[in-house]
Amino acid sequence: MVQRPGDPPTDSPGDSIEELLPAYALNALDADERVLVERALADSPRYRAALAGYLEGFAQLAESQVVLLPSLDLRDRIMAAAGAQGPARLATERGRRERPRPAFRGLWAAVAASVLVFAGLGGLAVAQSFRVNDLEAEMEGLSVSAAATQASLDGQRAEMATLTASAAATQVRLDGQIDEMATLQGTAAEMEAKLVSQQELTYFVAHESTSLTRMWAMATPEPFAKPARGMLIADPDGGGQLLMTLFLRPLGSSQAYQAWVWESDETAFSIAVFVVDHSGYALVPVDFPGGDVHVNWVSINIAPAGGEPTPTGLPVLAGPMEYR
Amino acid sequence: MDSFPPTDADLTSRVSSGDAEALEELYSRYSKPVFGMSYSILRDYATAEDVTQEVFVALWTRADRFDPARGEFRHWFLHLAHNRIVDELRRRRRASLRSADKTPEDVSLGLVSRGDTADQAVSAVMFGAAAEALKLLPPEQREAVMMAYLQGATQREIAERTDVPLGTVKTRLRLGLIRLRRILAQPASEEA
Repeated sequence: MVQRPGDPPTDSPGDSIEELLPAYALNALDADERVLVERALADSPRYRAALAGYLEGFAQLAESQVVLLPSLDLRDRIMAAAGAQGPARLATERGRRERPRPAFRGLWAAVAASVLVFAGLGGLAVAQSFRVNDLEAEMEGLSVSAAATQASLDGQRAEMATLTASAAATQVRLDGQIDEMATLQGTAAEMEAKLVSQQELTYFVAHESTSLTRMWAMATPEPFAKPARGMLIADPDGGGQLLMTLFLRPLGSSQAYQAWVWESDETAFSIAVFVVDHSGYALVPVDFPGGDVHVNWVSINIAPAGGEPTPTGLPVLAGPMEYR
Repeated sequence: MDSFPPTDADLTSRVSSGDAEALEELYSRYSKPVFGMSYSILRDYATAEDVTQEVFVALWTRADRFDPARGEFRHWFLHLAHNRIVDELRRRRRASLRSADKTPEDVSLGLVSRGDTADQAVSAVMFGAAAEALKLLPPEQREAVMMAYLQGATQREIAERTDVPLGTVKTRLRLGLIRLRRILAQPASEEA
């Protein structure tokens, strides 16, 4: 092996390290091999460049898979956990505390400088009065000057109070706009995630071998935005199955929706336990029972969180299984 | 001067100095692939969310470990996340072994063992471009990549389970990742 600039010392098994990099990218090394690779990476730009190539393939795989989204409150839970962990305070609070206020310090400095200038002028005037030996006249003049200075300071104080009030009002408006912008950014990110999901879903549904089973509302416990709908999208050639719902009422944390496939009136198999987002939307990969089970119906029931062994109560969505 | 929108590296630097808004922005950018990986590997919604939370809290407390001079944040963070997810998978596998007197093969969370089974495994847990790309790999490369990526198998375990030499597994992982990168980096029509 030819030693190149930036390579590890020659006692490192360079060829072996290169061979280990793909498995390192996939976290598929034993602990001792992992340590060996990480030591080599610390010293070698060439190995890091090679690893970046494999990590790019890995990252693209991670970024282009699965249409399922985490629940909407996960972000809040993470931020709460981060806040509890320290070392940082939540920046929204800190930012508000530390956000720079308008330049009142500059105004104070100007006022202080004015006082110093006037004090200097006052001293000079006293000296002059000694020189012309007209102390009384100068004293009177100084009194007038001091009164004028006082009036000027009073005016500046009043102006400063007005500016302070105005700046506080501006700050309040700014805080409101920042909060509003953060909300809009969150909504935009959520919409974008849903859009990507919908694009991937469309790609799957549009395949010629895909069959669609439609489910309609049977017993919605409380009215929600629109009548609930559901759809089971399946590839009969052995591919995957997706369950999509719209307008299912979001449930409390003690309950979940459970999807069932029915072989007969008495035999049902659970295929998914899931929750919906605030709009009643869910998109869930599901597992069908193996063997020779012939599914006739699909239903969705409300169950305790985590699901139940057999369905209870009326289904909220149901429909006959469609086979292409 | 700060760039707008801020780069991942800028945000990570801000996270390391305790800026929670920067963490929220990184969550917006990366929660989908992290949760997607977590769910497709662990196959349990609640656990996938828990692990996603752990990954982002780890980012909050250890963001200073990211060195932009040594590579992209995206590579570093997704690799870190996958490592944490695979750790959880292996922990569950060990717990299952302890509790039920099973062999490692029983609890391989076995999606994949051979050839065309790997196709079914891809269809069972992955959708979208990733699944299509995996299906375009030669079966033996797909099998090796799936076992590492989705089952948390080490290259040595892959060699044992598939009964091929370790060197062959290394080659399959290398070629599989290179080909995946090429497929996923270009429009589907070009690959077809």
